[in-house]
Amino acid sequence: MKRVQLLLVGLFMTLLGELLSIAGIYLSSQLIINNDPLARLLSGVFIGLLLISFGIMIAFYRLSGSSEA
Amino acid sequence: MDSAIERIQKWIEERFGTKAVDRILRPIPNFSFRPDYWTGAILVTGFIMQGLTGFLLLLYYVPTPDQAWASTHYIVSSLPYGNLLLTFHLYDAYAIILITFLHMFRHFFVGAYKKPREAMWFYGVILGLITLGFGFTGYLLPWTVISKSATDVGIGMLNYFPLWLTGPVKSFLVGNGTDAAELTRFFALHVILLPLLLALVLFLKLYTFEVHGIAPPLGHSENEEVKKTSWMPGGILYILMLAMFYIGGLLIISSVFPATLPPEYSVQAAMSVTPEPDWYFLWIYQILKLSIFGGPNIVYALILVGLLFLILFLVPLIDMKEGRSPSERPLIFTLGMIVVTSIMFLTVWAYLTPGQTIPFYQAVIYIGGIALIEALAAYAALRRHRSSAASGKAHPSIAMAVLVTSVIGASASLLLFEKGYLISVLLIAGFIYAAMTSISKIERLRK
Repeated sequence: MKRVQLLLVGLFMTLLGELLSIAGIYLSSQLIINNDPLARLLSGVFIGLLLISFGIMIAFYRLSGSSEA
Repeated sequence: MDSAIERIQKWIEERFGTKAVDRILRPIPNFSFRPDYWTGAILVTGFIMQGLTGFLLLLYYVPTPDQAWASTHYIVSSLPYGNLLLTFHLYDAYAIILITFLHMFRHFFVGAYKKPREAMWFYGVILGLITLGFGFTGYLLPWTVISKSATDVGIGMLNYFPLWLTGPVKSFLVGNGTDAAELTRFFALHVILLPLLLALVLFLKLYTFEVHGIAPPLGHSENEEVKKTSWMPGGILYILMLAMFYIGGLLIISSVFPATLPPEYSVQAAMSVTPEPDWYFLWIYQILKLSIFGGPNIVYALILVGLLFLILFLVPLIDMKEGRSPSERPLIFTLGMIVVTSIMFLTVWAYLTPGQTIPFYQAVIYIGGIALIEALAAYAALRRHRSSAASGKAHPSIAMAVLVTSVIGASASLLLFEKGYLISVLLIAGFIYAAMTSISKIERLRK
């Protein structure tokens, strides 16, 4: 696999992770209004995963070398 | 892919003028793109998050004695995302204090406070004290039985000093002495005065950082040519990446381990609890509990703690020699390690012995044991590196090795105390000496 392809796969995977996290945030926020204990537990996990996925995405972008001006 | 990304990048740079930043800020040396070089940036991230979460908490928190606990309880138990918000605010504060210690001791061990960066150290110690001030004032705000009792004990210590000295401080902190005045003043300090002071000193620190740049690695000179990356977008993206990991990780921890709110303060409830400070003040609490500092003698304990902070502040003026390698400053390096281990040790010890008076001889034996173990370990490690120090090869990672082994040694000593403490200290010291000597020999063979 070429470097560029690897980076594309990485970016795609992190994007997928972000979308899943957003879905999780949406679903848990529906339940959290009713003070659902599981939603309370998971809400921060989803937001955290979203941010971490974004962080990994930046790491992939940095690997591409485009950030070095 | 690259060309498309580059086109977007160029579009952003042209429209938002982000490239102008590179004309103001000096580029970043490539060797510094490691998380341990960016603990300061993580701290700034932590403070920004404190501001944001603190603002959201302010929307619901009521700073009056009859409403403080109730409003905090509402945030924790009923407000959507409230528990996450408060837990994140608390854990972020804990992380800031922990990283502040790490940041400070990292710079101590790599000698980054030396010429020309002395002012950065001074600002850093002031920022550390402001951070502890945030912790002290914020601890009271939920008005729990433990936090209020511990804060009152802390303020009560001022009574042992002459009135002319501490009277103004006390009246500044608690006003006319009522609960309402105390809470209002702590609240005002926490949300107005301390953030302002933090912003001011942080600005000064960042300014001096920009003037002097990142300290070069050991064995390299200030003016040495190294590869560099501009702030836009390289530096900003790196900080953003670390920030995402930091905030994301802390959010997950806050969700999985939510904070619980202790019972509300009342005079009756306060009689049944042992007032205890938060974990970052436990080492001071343990010093105050020593038997020789009982009663009015507590003044001497407070003077001792004050002196420790003063010495910490003056480190750049005490150790003015140019060499930054651990081998070139073995005494201050070893003393630093003894202080770090003693702080960790006293913290754990205080946690294990809440409210108990500690016999002075016991503390002397424990801390003396730690100092002996540490000094021997450092001596063994640094002696072997002395020859290579001239070429800059001695590395502060030795500190980590010595520190880890010493912590294990000190913990084992504590556990074995009742059954032959002296023998266990000597055995552990001997073991560490042998281990460090072996590590040094292996390192020499690898060269």
